[in-house]
Amino acid sequence: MSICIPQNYIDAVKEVVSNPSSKDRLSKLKDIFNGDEKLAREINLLYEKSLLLKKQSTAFDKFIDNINGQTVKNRAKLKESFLKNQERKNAIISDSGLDEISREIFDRKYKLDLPDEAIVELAKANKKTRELKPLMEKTPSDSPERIAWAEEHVKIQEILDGVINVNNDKGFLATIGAQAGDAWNRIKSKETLLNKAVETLKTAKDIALAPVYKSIGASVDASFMFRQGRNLLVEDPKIWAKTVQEAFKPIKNITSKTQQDLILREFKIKLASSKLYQEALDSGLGVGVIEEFFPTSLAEKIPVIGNTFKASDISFTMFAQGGRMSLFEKLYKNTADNLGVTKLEPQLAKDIATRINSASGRGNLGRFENQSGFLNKVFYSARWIKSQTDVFTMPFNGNLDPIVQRQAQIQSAKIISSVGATMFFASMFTDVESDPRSSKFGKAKIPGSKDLWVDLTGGLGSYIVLATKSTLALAKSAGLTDMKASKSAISGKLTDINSGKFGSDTVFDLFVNFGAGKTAPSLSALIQYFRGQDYSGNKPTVAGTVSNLITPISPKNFYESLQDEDFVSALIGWVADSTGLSTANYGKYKK
Amino acid sequence: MGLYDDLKPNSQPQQKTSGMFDDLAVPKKEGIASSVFGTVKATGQGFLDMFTNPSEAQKAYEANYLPYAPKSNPIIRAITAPGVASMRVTTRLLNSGLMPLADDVANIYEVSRKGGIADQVKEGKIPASYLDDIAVLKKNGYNITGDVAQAVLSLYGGSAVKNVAKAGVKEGFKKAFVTGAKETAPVGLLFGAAQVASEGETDIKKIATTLGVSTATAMLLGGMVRGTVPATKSVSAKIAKLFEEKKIKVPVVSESVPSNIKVNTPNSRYSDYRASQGYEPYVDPNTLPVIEGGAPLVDKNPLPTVKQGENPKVFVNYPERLPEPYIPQDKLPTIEMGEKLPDKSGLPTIQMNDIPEVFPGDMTYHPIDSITKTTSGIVRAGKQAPELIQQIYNPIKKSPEVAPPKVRPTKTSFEVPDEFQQKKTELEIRKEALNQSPFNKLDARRYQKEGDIRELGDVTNKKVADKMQNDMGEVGIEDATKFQEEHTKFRENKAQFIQDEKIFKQEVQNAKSSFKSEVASLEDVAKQSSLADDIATQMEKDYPNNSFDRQTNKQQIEVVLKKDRDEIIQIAMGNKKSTDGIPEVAHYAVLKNIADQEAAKGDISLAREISYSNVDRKAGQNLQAANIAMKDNVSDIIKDVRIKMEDNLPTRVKKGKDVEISRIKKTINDALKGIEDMKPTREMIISALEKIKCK
Repeated sequence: MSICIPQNYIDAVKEVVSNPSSKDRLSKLKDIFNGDEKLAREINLLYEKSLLLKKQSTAFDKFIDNINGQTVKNRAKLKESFLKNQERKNAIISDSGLDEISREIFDRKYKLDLPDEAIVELAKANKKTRELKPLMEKTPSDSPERIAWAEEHVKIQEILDGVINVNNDKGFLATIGAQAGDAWNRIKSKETLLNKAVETLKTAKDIALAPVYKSIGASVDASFMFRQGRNLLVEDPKIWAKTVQEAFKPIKNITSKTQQDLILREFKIKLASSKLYQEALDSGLGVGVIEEFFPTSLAEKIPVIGNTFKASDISFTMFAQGGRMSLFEKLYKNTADNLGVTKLEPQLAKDIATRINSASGRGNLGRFENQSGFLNKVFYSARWIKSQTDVFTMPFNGNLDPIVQRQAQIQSAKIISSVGATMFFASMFTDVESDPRSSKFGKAKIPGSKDLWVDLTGGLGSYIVLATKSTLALAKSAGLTDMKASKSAISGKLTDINSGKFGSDTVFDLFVNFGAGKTAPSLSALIQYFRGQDYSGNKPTVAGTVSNLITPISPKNFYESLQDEDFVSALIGWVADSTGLSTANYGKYKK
Repeated sequence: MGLYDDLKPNSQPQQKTSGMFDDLAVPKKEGIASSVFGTVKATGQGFLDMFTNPSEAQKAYEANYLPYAPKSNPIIRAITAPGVASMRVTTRLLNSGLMPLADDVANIYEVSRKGGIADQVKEGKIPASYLDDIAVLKKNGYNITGDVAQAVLSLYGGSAVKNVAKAGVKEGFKKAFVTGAKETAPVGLLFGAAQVASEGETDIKKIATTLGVSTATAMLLGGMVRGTVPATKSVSAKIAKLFEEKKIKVPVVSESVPSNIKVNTPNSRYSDYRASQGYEPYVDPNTLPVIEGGAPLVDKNPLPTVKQGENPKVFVNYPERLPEPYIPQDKLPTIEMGEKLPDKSGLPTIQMNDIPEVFPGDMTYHPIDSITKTTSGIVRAGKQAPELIQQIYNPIKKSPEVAPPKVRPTKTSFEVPDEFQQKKTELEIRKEALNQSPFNKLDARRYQKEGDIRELGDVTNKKVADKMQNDMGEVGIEDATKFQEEHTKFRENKAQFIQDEKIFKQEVQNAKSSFKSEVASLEDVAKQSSLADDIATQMEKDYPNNSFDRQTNKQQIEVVLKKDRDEIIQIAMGNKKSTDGIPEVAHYAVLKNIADQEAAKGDISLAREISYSNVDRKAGQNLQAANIAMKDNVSDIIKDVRIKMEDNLPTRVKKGKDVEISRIKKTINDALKGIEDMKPTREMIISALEKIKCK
């Protein structure tokens, strides 16, 4: 039951309530209400409460008008939000209410809030998914019911993507402009000259460490085939072939971004319409995630050539995530069948997902997982490094479920033996370095080239070399062996590590150099300046550094190979590089 | 000559060219544009030369192999001429690619024919300079690979051109040209690469030029071939049109199968793409065909089956309140005079501590209960403002004794009830009677003046008076007074009819609306009945550590659903402890669902507010869009997105977050403290009254 004042009494009440004295007001209200004091009190109380709420919102409005760091739109939104809350609760603001308002003000200032329209859209799409969910639950993968649900689910993802990546809809220049505007506002908001200078330096650092260089570097190739796809190829060639075929669709449609978007959307729907999609997400399988090699889509917005970057990004994502999902479906089902159950224990499913992630270049960072942002500023891809080391360590990881550990053991054995077999096979036709003390280990010379070598190990060779060299060096230091620990990749000369001679390498140098070779593009450039030479032994220049940062790796390698090799060798090298069989041009070191 | 003369246009004599593009020649400038133009021009020229100005080798080939037909026989020559011409064109196109390999083969044949050539040179039988003439000896493996590749690509080029031409059949010229150019570009690039390999070229500029020219040539060829098809079609269509008018047009009577024109839009392309992947188009369940009798029905109706005599488990929606379980009228409690009512007035409970300053010292706050007790006594006859009191308080009536509610069979469309049917017939009769009345035929405007009805005596204009007299004759009433009475009666009847008809229409409309809301409410009820179940299911997933089982969760949810909304909010937000043993998360889960419903209708304030609750579990680490999108409700989504976006903030902002929020809170607090002394403005008073006046 609610109380209100009828329209025809409003004027009379208005006359009375304008009296500032509550006592007088009460008395006059009593007259209006025929001497009914209780009723007069009730009306007076109602009015005073309403006035208090009005005063409160007026005070809040004034406060909002006077705070810094809010846009005009934000101010309006905050006022509206406050008013709506007040109306809904019809009560003066509580202490916890103040907490919420304060947090909302903070969120709006730093653009952490979802736009109102996005929330409504999300709620509508969410409602639909909830309605569709029961219909699809008992249907098989890719059923029309699942696809209908998946379409809504992907719609939510797209709304979220649009919200999380605020510049998603903007063009290249508009994005750069928006980011420059933000940076300028940050600098401008600093009060002293010193603080402005510090903020400027921070902005310069942000530009230097921008993730876009990684995306550019990893573009314009299909290196996922044999690099990230190496393990999948060994584990299930059929899935590998099917996934590669799918992943080439965006490359085939390289001229149309719209078509690429459609292919990606279709792919997401396909993923989500898998019967094991929920289990995959719950188990932490790397689907629907941003791949470390393509942390940003900025380069994709560049007119014309952006298409190429976009195609590379989508292809990589489709290969990595499509492969993971297919393998997860297979292993989940096989494991469940073997155990005679329909649903796996969550921990077992998680272990399976962890192994699959690792097998597709997305190693688990364990306790450093929450530091992944920092690690990715330092390294090109921390998860990729971890996934490579997992080949050697996962078979011995006792924390894994024994079933998964066994799978890891078999898989590692298969990888190592297949790499060995490939090396052996290649050695029948060309030179292959089989000495793990040389950084050329696992590489085969391109027939007819001067000194251009292809890595047959999918990147594993460098880890074997590091382990061999350091172990031998330490063993020799301990007097356990007389073997020399290192072999020059250029001259083939054997040398000692930790020899104590001036200028000779130490085990520490090995690790530092190894780490330096895995760093993110910006940091790598910085290291070159610190060393005073780039990886070819030349003095680094600003133009060279910038050019390096904005040139994809495989065309860059091709260009460098052309300086030393004939066209065909360089072309073969390029093709190998583009498919993930990295090349090393040792000719440039001989100059 | 000045220092900058070189930069002036036409300062250098133009290089004379001889070809079809002479007219297009522009002053030579150093720059990308001129370089591109030069390349395009050279490509076109080279392409043209291939056919119009063949190499000597090609001429020799044609002389030796092509003219099969005896030159002396003009008839046979005429018959075979088109074939010879087309072969000439084909070989001129292909031979440039085939010749390097043919030369290699010829060289190798030559060398092998002579046998032991090295020995012969050594013995002096053959001069060493002879080896210089055998080109193949100077070639390495890559050069020969290049020759082979050129030959293969030349031959493949034929089938590629054929495919390109075939594909152009259904396209317009522009699209066909561009697509043809795009599709043949890779072939051109590969051909260029083969050429480079064949020549053993290492100069990067020359390599680039060869690749560029080869690619551009292939694109031009592909574009022209593919573009020619629609262009030819277009010409033939125009010719056909000339004769079209002579055709007899037969009108199409009907077509049983609609012929839709395929429109190429992003959606249609997406549909095509989906179809190519094997997905069937989505069909709205509402448009699915009705299953006829005999066929098993798929139960898609969310409405529960309610049996006769059984009380359905339903909920009633009240604005601003949680859905309450529906209580049949006969089960409603009878509230006696003086009995304390449950506090469901909707009026907020205001604690004295909240606003003590608004009451003067000599006044005390009386709880609302004390007033509501006397509710029925407030309606006092003969007092000054009974209507006011009636409007202020809506007295709670004692529930009438009613029979158990009958379960209404589900209807699918609105049927006009009997009482309306009767009224409708009555109105139709009245309308007909009015239409038939002789007064109806009279010009009503004659009897009206500036909105008033005028009578015969009021008329001063003779013409009008005459017409009125005439009207009397028409109606058949000679007496003016009677005419006036009857006419007035007619007008009143008509006005009444119009009014009645309007009311009737409104009543029908209302009945329809209420039917709709009834249907909607039944649907809502059906949905609400499973709400507790849904929430319990969600809780099981969201809070795996919750010690209660699903059934207990459901029971608890049902209790929470009956609670006052404000209380749920207070508990869910962690501002108040739950006293009945039902965990806070159960309140939170209920609230999230209500917030979801409201947000879907556009009111997002609750969803936003509860996304700040600390009661719910912390968001997980995996906050990618796919994971967030799996959340069951929008409040959790908002929370996760915020955490995700917060993670992207600069470290300095993240670290200073709590301090900044505390500072904001303090500043608001300071701002709000002043409201006690704030002098109300007229605008504030009006606004405050506006909020509490009856709508």
